[in-house]
Amino acid sequence: MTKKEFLLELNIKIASLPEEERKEAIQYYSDFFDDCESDEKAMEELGSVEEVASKIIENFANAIATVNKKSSDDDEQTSTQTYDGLLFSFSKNKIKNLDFDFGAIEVIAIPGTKFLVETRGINPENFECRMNDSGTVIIRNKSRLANFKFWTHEHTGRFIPRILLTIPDKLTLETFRINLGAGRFECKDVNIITKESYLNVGAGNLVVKTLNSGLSNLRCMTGNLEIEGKMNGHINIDCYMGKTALQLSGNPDLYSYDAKVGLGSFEFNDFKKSGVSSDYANGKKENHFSVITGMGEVSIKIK
Amino acid sequence: MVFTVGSALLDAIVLAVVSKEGTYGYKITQDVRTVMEVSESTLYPVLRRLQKDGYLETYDVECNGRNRRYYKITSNGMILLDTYRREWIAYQKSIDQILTVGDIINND
Repeated sequence: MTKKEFLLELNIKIASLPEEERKEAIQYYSDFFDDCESDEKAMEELGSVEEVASKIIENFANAIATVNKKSSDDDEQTSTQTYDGLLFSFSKNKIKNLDFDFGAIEVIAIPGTKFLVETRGINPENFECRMNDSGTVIIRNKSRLANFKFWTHEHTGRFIPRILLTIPDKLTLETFRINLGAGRFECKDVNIITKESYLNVGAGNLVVKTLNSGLSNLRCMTGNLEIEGKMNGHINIDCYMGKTALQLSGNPDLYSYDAKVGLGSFEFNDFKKSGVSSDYANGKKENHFSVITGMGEVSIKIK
Repeated sequence: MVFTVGSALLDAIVLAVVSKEGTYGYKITQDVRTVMEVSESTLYPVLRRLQKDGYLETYDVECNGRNRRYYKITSNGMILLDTYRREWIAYQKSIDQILTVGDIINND
């Protein structure tokens, strides 16, 4: 790993922090590398990126988010809208289900030892994060339009609400449910094992890597849905105008599919079709993809 | 070292190191490490917190074509350091009374 890679990785890992906090940390660690005899020595002294990042997050995650807003009379005036960052911690042994539902949000999931939810720039009155009696962790906004400023044209006031999820490695669930209206949900270095998964993306970008799931229901409106990992059992894919890409590990001979393709395209390993109202199918095995795509692109690769 | 270092003691040592001269991150780390084992990932949050609380200030100095961030102590930082010093001396005395002097008494 080079200095550049280390800092890049660090910046991603502390993405939930306010920009100023990130800049400070990056400046500090960039200096640290430059002042050390060699990158290797610096890395040796610093330890892992995870450790460095988690120490920073632990200390500064609750920094207050500030928004600069233009007042209506066009007077260049600054007002500050502050929402304290919130931190929720759940006992990983009690979690059976994850139910995430947000209108517009940026979420990054990182691996850790505890299950933590950290927010930034989210109005606590409109935010719900709790575990119910059946072991379901519910993370959602109470109103779908709550983060409407997500799309504001006033760039001075543009502020993106964020959540940092820390997920213990090999988290084993009954159901894994994500509803993302717009924005981004990235879960890349975390292993999630679940009996059932329901992943639903509207206009956003949902990326889940190293997912190991049974029965799966995937819906993608105009957004982008990317999954890597293993999937077994029945897998429903509804892709309206967006893009759905699965990269799975397994024996392709054990999988079958049926696909209804409107104007979009469908790809299953080497089999690739795009077409006007066509049905494709190759039988029905225990592991089966049932695909409907309007104008979207569905690509399934199994190796 | 067999004794654990509390966060107040770490704050005090960082303040003391910075109070001697304007200094930069890597050097602070090295200086602190001459007296205690502490990981680098622990030190940055300490520096940043002391800075945010107004006990340290930063400034940039050009060095080999880049800006290096320097830290210096503020007047509030000096006051805090002074408090820590006095606390330390009192603490040191009371510990000594039990730990070292007490030992001599037991040997009588």
